Amino acid sequence: MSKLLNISLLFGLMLLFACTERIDLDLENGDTKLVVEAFLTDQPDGRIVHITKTAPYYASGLTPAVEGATVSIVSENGQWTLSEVKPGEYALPDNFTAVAGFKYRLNIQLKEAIGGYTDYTAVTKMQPAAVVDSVKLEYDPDAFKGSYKFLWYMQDPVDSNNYLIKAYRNGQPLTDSLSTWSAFEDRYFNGNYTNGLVVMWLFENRGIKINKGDTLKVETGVITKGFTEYVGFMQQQLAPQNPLFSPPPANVEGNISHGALGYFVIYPVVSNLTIYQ
Amino acid sequence: MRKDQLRKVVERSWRSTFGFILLMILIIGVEGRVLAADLPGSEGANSGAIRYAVKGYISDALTGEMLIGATVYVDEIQSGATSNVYGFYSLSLPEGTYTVRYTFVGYTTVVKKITLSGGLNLNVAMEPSATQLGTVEIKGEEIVQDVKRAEMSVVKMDIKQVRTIPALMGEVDIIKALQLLPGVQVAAEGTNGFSVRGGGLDQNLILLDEATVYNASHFMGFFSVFNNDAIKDVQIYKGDIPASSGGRLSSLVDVRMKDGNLKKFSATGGIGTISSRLTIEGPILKDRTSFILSGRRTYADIFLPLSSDKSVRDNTLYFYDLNAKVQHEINEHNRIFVSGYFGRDVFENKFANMNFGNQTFTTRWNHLFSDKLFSNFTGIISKYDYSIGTPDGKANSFLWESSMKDYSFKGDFSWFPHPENTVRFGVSTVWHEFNPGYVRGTGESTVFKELRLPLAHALESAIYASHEVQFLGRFNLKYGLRLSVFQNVGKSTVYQYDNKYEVADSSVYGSGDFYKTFMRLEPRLALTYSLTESSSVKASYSRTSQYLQLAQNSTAGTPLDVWFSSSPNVKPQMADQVAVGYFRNFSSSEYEFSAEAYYKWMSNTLDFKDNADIFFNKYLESELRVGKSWSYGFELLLRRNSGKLTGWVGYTFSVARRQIDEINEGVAYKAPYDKPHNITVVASYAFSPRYQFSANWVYSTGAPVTFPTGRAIIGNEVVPVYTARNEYRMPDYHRLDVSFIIKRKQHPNMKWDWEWNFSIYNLYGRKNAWSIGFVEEEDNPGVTYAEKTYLFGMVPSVTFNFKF
Repeated sequence: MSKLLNISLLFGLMLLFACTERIDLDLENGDTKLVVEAFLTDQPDGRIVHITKTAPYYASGLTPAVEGATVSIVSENGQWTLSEVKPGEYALPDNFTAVAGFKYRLNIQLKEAIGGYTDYTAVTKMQPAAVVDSVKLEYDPDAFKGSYKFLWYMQDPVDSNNYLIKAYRNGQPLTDSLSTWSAFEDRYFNGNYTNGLVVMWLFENRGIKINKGDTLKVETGVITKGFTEYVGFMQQQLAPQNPLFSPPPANVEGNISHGALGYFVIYPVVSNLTIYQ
Repeated sequence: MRKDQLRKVVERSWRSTFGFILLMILIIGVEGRVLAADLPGSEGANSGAIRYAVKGYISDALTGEMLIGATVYVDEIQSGATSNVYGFYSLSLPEGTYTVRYTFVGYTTVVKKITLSGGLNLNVAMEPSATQLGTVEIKGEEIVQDVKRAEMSVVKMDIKQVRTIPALMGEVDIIKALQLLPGVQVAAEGTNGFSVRGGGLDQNLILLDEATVYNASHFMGFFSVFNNDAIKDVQIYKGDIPASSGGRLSSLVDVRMKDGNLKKFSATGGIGTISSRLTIEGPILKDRTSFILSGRRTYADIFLPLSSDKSVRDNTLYFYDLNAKVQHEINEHNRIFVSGYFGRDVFENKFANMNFGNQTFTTRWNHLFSDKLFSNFTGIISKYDYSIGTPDGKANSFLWESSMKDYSFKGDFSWFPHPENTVRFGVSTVWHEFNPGYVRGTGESTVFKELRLPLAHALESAIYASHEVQFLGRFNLKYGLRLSVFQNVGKSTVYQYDNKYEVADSSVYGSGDFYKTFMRLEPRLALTYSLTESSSVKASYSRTSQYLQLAQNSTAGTPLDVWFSSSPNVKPQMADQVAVGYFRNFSSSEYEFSAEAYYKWMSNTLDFKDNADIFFNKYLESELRVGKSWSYGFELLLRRNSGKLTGWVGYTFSVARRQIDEINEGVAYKAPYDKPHNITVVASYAFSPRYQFSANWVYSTGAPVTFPTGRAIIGNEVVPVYTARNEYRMPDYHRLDVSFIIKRKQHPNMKWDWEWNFSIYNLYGRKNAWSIGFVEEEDNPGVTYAEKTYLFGMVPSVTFNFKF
């Protein structure tokens, strides 16, 4: 809530004056770190763990994949070994099941040490899925020079919950990168019926155009508090820097051991469809 | 506050205040005996000569406005005094005949021959020596910089000079003028935030008529809350803070409002590029009671509807200020002043709204207990608050409010037993009320609940005494002691955190419980040795403590301020500063030069951990990390206060570091305002009484900044990877501003006066980096380059000022 207002109210004002210009800037190269992106869901399409390394900042393209690692997930209900399907991409087997309330441990054994270690590990806890009644898409010509907003209808449970929202149009992702996701906790409406709460804005001036008759899908995930904070801080660090709001630039601490970058989470997802009228 | 809480607080405060007064009497008793018996020049015990006081007020003959810091010099004893912030002076002399000179920059010296055979009340009205600015003639004996006083690291700004400094969008701004002084660093382009000698932005105590101004900014910090037309005097203490003030580590900015014209009605005002101002003042009872009312409002919003962009057109955006003051002289021994400030920033559109502002209210009573004992009692209410919200009627409708409120009482005494001895002492107490955040849904459709961060209360009290004494002809010593006491008052829940900063336990305190008390002794010391009549060397030491701080982790800050206090989890910040300096006036005081070097150690320095959650966080204290910081440097300042060309040149070398175990892996890092080299040139040239040209040029090393040393790909984003904090620097900053003032041709009997002020900010259009970011090339995704954002190119503005 505060974040949204900060950006819209104040940063918007600054941009009335601001101009930008490309500059030359030399950067040093820091030590290589391991990067683990293990954002897994209980759905069949959310089962890939990406393992990469950091690269010099100005390096172009993808960062180097970490190949040949031994990756497994262990829980009360079983143990699964992931297989490397592409360089640095490790897939869970089809028989993987995630059960609400269970803890899952990710174990990574590298062939060669990165950042001084060969073994990395992380733990997450699967949350119960959300029950979303419906979603709706509305166009608001006033907000942010014209925006679409997703309204969300569900009964928020009494205990504290954290949500992750992603959106798709006609099967294509509208939120294909972390900074476009919407992750929030229910602190301000805990236990209430959400009654059309706006959970995501899509900005026309960022090239998003939705036509009448388009089918939209909203994915509601229930995530851990730690992952909500992780996404929030990442979004803050990825936003343009300015002296008024930006905290000191810093790496966002995840839940992987030995200071590896990234996060391990397994969360349940439910989907709701709506047709834009 | 509940009744029982109030009762407990009153009882406790009364007990502590009473204790203070007792201690005070003790100190005064000791001081008194010391003065009577031991101090050089004191005839008390050994000569028996009776001293009589010459005392009075020094004022401007045309307006009756009291003059602060005017010099009173007695030829026969080659010593004297200066008028205090109320224009009062007192000199105790043995029976005899004396020549007394009253001098003040820009005023004709007044010489009085007096024969003293009893107490003498001598109010002096001084004539301005020339009404035209920039053509002020200075006489040899007019001492601009008091090289002899035991006081250093202080700069007094001439309000008239501030008006000639070219200003952003023509808005004359005393805070921006202070930022042009050596030792004062700007937080970010265009903003009012400043760092003094390596300190934090929240380590500056900004007082308006003694009331704390918690956020001295309008409009994201581009303009200050001080309307120059209503201001009489401003001084900044960069160190050697007087014992009478405390509560902030790094500086004191003491702003005094005008008292109002006692002689005749007058109005001044201006129509500027973004705002208009109007000040009216005049006598209610001639020579005894006066008022001043001063207002300013921006009108940028009036032009918004002209925009072709609908989203700009629908915005409401303005700020305003109102200053009001009344003074009344009851009799020779009693004067009262009531003053207030009210300012607000408003921003609204169909989607959201935000407003914030300061309010201060000060009531003062000057009382003379005797010709030698001057006192002032002050009652203050000071408030800063803000709210942000969205319009009603939606599921997302909400309102968020936060405020900070102080109720203070102060009693300050000055005792003038001898021209070479001055004793100052006093007590103060402040009741703080913090409302860190209150958020709730509004309207019927809202889904938001009501949430409140707990209110907090604290009592901050102090007692102080200081003694300024001249001895052996050339030495001037000022020593003082301030005892400050800070107490957290319930009701409150205090959390205990484990070594991972997770909540381990909590303690609940009842309403009115004083659950934590901090007590700090703050010695202050300054010594001056006069080398010649016009040069001296000075040294000072001061210790300051700070119990309130701002929850902020960006470099320049926003209006969404949350102040939090020392508590069982947060120890008070402390600073020790030593400074030495050389001071010289030359060419008959036309020029003044100062060189100062300082070293400052600060303990319990607070910073937030990386990626701290400082918004609406009940466990804010768990986000803090504690360490130490230090800064050192030197400052050179050459000023010319008279003649056709006036202004100053300043150079600062400074270093500021912080070291906190859990930040930057415990390695010391550059403080955000560490800019080693800083040059300012401020010059104003009066071609004739009608035309004046001014320019200022600033240069500083780029601010420290953190840049990535690697990249990772996470969530389909190129994520910067960092190694160490503040290891890089922004490009160097420099800028030239100019202004040209055209005044009305002066002739006798003219009813009103006017001037045009044309100014250009950033004349050569330097694109100073406000921030540096990294962007992906459009036709080359995955290829990143650095891009700077700059705020201002060349900004011209016009202001028309009038007076009648």
